[in-house]
Amino acid sequence: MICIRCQHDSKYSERTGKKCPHCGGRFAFEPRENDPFTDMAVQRAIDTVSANGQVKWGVEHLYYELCRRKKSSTKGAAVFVVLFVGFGAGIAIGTAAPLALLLHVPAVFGLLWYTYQNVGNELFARGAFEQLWDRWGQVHGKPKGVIARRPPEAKPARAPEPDLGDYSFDRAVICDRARTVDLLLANNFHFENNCAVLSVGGYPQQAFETVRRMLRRNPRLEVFVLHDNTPEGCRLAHLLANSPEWFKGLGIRIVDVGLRPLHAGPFERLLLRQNREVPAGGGLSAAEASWLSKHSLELAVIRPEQVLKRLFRAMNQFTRAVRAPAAPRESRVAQGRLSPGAAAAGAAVAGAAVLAPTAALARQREAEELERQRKKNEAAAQGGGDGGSGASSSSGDFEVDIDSFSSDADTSDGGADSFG
Amino acid sequence: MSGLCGYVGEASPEVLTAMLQAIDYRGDRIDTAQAPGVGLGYRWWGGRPGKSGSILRQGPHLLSCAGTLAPPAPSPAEALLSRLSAGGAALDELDGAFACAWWDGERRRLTLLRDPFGVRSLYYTVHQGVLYFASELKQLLAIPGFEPALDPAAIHKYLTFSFVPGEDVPLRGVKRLLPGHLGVFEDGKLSSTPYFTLREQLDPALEDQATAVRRVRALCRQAVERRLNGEPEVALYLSGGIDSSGVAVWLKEAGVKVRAFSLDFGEHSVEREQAEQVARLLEFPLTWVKASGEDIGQALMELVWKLDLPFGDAVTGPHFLLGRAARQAGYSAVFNGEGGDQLFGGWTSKPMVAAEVYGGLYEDSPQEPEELYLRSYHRFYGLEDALYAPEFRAQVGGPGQRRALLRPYLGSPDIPHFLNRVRLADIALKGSQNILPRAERIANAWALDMRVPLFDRALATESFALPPQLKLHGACEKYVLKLALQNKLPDDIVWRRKFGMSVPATDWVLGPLAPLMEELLGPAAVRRRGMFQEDYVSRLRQGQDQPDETRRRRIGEKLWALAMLEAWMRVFVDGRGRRPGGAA
Repeated sequence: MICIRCQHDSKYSERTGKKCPHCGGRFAFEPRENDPFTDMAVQRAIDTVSANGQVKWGVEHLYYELCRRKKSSTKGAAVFVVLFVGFGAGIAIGTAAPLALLLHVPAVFGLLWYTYQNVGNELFARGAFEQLWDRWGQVHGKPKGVIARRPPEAKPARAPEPDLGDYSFDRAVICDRARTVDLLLANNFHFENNCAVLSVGGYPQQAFETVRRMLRRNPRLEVFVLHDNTPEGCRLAHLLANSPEWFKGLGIRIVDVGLRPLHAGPFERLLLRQNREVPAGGGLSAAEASWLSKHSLELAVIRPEQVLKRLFRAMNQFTRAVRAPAAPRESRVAQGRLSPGAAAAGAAVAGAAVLAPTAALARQREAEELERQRKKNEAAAQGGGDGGSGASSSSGDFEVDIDSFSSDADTSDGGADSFG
Repeated sequence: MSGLCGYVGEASPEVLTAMLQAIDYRGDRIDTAQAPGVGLGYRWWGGRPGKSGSILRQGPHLLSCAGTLAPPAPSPAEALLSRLSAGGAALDELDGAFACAWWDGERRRLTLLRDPFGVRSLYYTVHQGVLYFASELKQLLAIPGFEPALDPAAIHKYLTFSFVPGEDVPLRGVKRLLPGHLGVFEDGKLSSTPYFTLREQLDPALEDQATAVRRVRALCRQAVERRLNGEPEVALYLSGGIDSSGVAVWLKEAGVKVRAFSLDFGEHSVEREQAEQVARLLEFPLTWVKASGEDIGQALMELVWKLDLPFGDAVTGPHFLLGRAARQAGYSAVFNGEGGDQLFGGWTSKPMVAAEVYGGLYEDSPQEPEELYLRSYHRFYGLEDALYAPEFRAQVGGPGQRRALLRPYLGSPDIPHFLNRVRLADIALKGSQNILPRAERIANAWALDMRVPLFDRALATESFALPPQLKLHGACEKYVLKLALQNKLPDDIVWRRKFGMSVPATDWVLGPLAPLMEELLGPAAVRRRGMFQEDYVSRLRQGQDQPDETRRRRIGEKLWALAMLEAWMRVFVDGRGRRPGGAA
């Protein structure tokens, strides 16, 4: 096992008291004593979610990163066992009664399929993760870039600026949960994109009412809704469009860029499963309601760097589409209460796309991309349990396709200097 | 489009000739004047209206003035001598684009003066006990025995802002007088004081929107008229945005003949239709100037030399081509629309507002507006660990230097409103130390006189009397300016939202200019200079930015800033400021 401090590789017999025999540094985990990960595996997962320390991230992102890494080793081992036993048994059966192989071979393939589908699919238990996280903190301290809220009373004492509430934002991202708000704000998404970020439940509390009032000062506000794949999340755009406290009657464009059942494919093994009644309507189609009655999926399954890039790109493409009168307005991104202009340009389709190229790209392209990402994700997750090759998965999941940025132009601010 | 120089102390008068020779593209006439222990030089183009025709010699006084006053004076030198002699309130309305040196032989005192917003520059240095001053840095490099040595602290600031802010320049021992300042050299010491300061003083009468709009419209028109020196015809850089379109309207109203020049970036062009629409409406002939990466690459070293200081924004290349086109078409004066964003609350104010609303939520998020403001330049603030080589890092000086530059503006106790403090910083830094000096250098490169009417003293003062909500109105930028123009231009020009940037720098540096980037920023060049980490620069050249950077255009912005710095060091340090032989 490799020490994350000195990179020394030691054998179990050389480690006493969970210490590195080379540098004496403590290990947080010992897989030989039933810990699910090595320290190096967790460190690599942290490096991946934080883009090597350059992106702020939440504990939930690490949880899903570890889920991705854990399951595949179990699965790999199980598949290996089935193959090994099946092959051994095949030789024995083939020697004793060759005809029985006609039954044996399909049975082995069937077992392989069953194993692949079912083994290792359970999520890493949250309780076990929390213990792991605590132990990591005790041994290695708080990792770089993990988002830590400052207690409201510790906010620096500066007089509030009297005129701030008189201005507004070009766009707003409304989230279903406060942790998503944290991800965007801690990474300065609001500053980079002149964008308000709020949760529907009132976070961040100290700025919430001011910001919501500011939003009403921009009749051309563009609203993007970012959410988990849950009934509440998928209904959020509809709720915002119909709530007088939010945007009802304001003719503001609301674009759903959150996760919906349509997008669950690549994350099958990270789904949360349950049984509940979910009625259709209020922004949910019958098919979506049916899916959501059995599953849900958190936005945190997507790595922070990719959430930021995808959101930026989705917003930018939408904005370009609506601000350029000649450009085609693919309104599969538009949902909720559409402004007359946008509604005229194309029919609204509920269940929009998300964190995936929006206005300019066709649905076909998205499906291909999801499939490509799924394959990549699976390939990258091989051997992730021990952290061996896990680091290579940093480009997995939703990788930004840089080529589609055909020019430097973006609409999210006025650009650099022109000549006035 | 003229320049000056001089010395106080025991120097050889031949130095004046050398210093004037260094800026031979600033005019076809020269004049020098000496008195015991002092020398003045002046270079200008003959036959241009509104300029002094020589150094003024009046009794014990010598005065050299480069530039023009607004409103124009038949002899700017005489007008300045009379105002400077009177002092105090006589400077209250002084405006224009000028730099001036006044030697008072009676008191044996030298006074240096720069225009309120810093269109014209003045540098000085003390070398072997003699004070030298000049319009351009390269003139100081003509002083015999003066050895250029880099100042890492100034380079550090350049890498944050993409221009060098404050009094420092990137050569040790050289300073510049700040815009709107008066420098007095007496008894071997130079002390400088501002004669122009912007303060917020809201005028209750302007709370009435109609009154405010009328006032702004009248002042804009006056600002344009005051910058007409009697030329029969002028050029205008027209982007199709609200600011340059506004200047077009007011030039039309002033009755002057105008030809518009616009940049053509091929498939990357933005606001092209708008520029055409404005030119058509006002019946201005319009010339499209092609700006390709290749054209700019070919002109780069000449541009760097003419810019005099490092300016890292990629817009300088296209502007250089615009200047060339205007000159080739026979113009001597050119107008632009710079200043609208800084005076009336352009898009750059908005991220600062967003950040301030959410300030201090996280343990390691930036606390002070100064820090966010530095980030808003999107160069290398916060990336020092990635970019700087350890040896360079050790030389750049202690923390807080850059924030200290901003404190007089963002922390100004005279300005109660947040938006106005941000605007003040924008005017003082982005406007006066970047946009204006670089525009003047580029225009001068082509013997053009640069007129930037929106940076007008009365208009700027008025912008601090307007209610802030008339500038940033909700999310609508430059609201009052739009209202002032809404009946004079089509709605599409006035009310459309800003649509992206115009300089496709990333496509250039990763495409046709990649060989030039290799030459300036390849591993061998980076190693030779020893300031930066090779792997970081090489990643940028391969088109890879930081993981948390969402915009591809930042790659071009960063690479361009580094390339311009390297080119500047080659010309001004390695080449001692001499005209470069050719392209890099």
